[in-house]
Amino acid sequence: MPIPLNRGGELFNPPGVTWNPVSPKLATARLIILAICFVPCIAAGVVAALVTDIAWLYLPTGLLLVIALWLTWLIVRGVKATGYAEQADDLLVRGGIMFLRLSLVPYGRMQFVDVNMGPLDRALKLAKVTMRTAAAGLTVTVPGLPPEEAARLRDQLASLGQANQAGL
Amino acid sequence: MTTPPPPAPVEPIDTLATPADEGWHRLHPATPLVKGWIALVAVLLVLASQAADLLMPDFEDDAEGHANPLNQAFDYIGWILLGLGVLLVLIVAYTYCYWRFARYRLDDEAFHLHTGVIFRQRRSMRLDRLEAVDTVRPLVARLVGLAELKLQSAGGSGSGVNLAYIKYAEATALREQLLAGARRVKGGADQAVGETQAAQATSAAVAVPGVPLSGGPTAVPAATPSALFGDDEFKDAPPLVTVGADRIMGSLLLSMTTWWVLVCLIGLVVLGIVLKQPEIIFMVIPGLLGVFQFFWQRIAGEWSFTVTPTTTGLRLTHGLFTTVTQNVPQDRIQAIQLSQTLLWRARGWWRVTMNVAGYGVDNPNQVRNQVLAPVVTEQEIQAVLWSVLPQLAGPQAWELVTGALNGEGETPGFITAPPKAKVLDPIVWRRRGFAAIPEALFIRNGRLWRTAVIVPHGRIQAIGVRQGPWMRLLGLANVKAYSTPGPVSARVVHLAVDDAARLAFGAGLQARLARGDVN
Repeated sequence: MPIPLNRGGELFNPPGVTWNPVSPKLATARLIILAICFVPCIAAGVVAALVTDIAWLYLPTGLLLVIALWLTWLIVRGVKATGYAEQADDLLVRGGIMFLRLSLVPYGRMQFVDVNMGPLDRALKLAKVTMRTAAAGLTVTVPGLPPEEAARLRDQLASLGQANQAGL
Repeated sequence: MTTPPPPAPVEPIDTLATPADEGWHRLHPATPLVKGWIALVAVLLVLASQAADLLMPDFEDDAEGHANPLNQAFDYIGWILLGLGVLLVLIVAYTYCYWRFARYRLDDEAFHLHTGVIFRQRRSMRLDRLEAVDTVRPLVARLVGLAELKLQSAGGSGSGVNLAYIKYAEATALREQLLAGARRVKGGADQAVGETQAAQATSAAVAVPGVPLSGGPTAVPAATPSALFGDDEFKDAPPLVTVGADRIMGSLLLSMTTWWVLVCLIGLVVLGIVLKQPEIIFMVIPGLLGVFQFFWQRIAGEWSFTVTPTTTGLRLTHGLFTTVTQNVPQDRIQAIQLSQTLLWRARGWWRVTMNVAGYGVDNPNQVRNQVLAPVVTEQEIQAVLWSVLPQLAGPQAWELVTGALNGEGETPGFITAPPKAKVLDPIVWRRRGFAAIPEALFIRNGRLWRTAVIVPHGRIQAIGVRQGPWMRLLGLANVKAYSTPGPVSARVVHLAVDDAARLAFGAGLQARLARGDVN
């Protein structure tokens, strides 16, 4: 399988940009959530089919299993496709496999930078950095960073933002 | 700022300082009555629309012996009147308390407003955060010579300051001081010498509203003294644009809404005749109410629209009953969009909307204050554009503007969607495209409903690139230049990937964007 971070040609991999990947543990975190949603449903379907002995009950259960496997594949690849790059003047964030996204946010435009950790994130030692600008409808997030890296990125962004601050 | 701000007068939060003290001012004593009256009218309008709603479904029920709710209402007319009276008293009592406790003050750095009866609120808006100042005068306020001042900031929902009501002349003077102050604060250190003088002039002028203020040190020519007295505040320059009644009405007549309504009406009449059910025509009533509201908003809101350049920014005035004066410093306009519905093309009319940080965040009804000009011709667009973005003055940039307005397919200076975009975008692809010069980015869109967007690079907040599976197959991508919240969206879709990269990472653009260059 090609490394998805190269996907999208030069437009999504500008020359001279090296992407920092996010932690592979992000896939673990997302797969745990996926399992929490799907495993009980699939198990219930199997149990119901066994108990009632109705053969076609396997059909929706099988469908659920296929969807779960498909989502697993999406998650694993999606995490590999997520990356960020700190450049001289701006932060680049990319993501997506089928629908590729790339955001370019100048440091001076950032209004605030947040670091969030949910309970699962804490257990797996992951953190999410969120950046917001004055732009309508644009929040740039870098999920799945080790907490130290998240803190470093936040401080870095904050200081660079201060240095390049541009008003509205 | 080089000079430290003078220490703010300290006062305990639970006292009522005498209003004239230390530059503090009160709202006009007639405020409770005007506010109460407007609130009462609003309540009555809501009640009336409720009554109309009640009336509607009962059209046919009457035959079956159901009582019409309006008749029931008449039985209780005494109670209703009493209720309204109590409501009026409550409203006036509340607004009286509001007035009694409300005070405002302008100093070098910020505008302060203290309000609240039980829960005190002290709001300070720093002048460098001021985005625009609007003067709003509902009909009642106009009759008694009052005005409401709205200070818009970019801080998002609820961060503005509304000052209702003060004398109109006072509002005009205060507005000029606010705008001049904002300019001075933003202007930086080079005017530090004159600052104290300015402060003195400012506070003196606030203390005695009506006294013509001298311009201050920033070479802001004073608000014309005559402006402080009369109702006529537009003596400083002739308006760039004056939209007369005939053009507003004509533009509405040629709007698609009008023709949709006509088509629907005819369709329903035909249907009624064919089905032999003439009452089917009543189905149109709710829709007509909506259309009427749309027309009313356009007519009443955009009546006698003028656009005037002033030393502190662009001044827009409009309104039939409620008159609004908007003052927007040119550098606070983040993006401009020109749009033209199909039927306007014959007349060469365009509607100009803008993104201003601070507008349109609080509620969607504010869309009307994001109109830069409701119906203008290309010549007027030129005048307005050159005033808002002086860096675009000149034939070269103007050629790009006309290309963005009317161009289709290959246009000099424009990078357009490639022919292979036809598959995804059979109609509009010929219009999609952009042109970038160091001063600004031009984006054109829409084949039938043409739009053109102009954004100075320095006001782009961020860039986003998107590509879905079909687009990847065809080698296309979308690029969006993010702007502040507002009606203008600067997005080019279905560009060839190389062109998309050129737009997103264009030489110099990134750096300019990062530096936040303005002008």
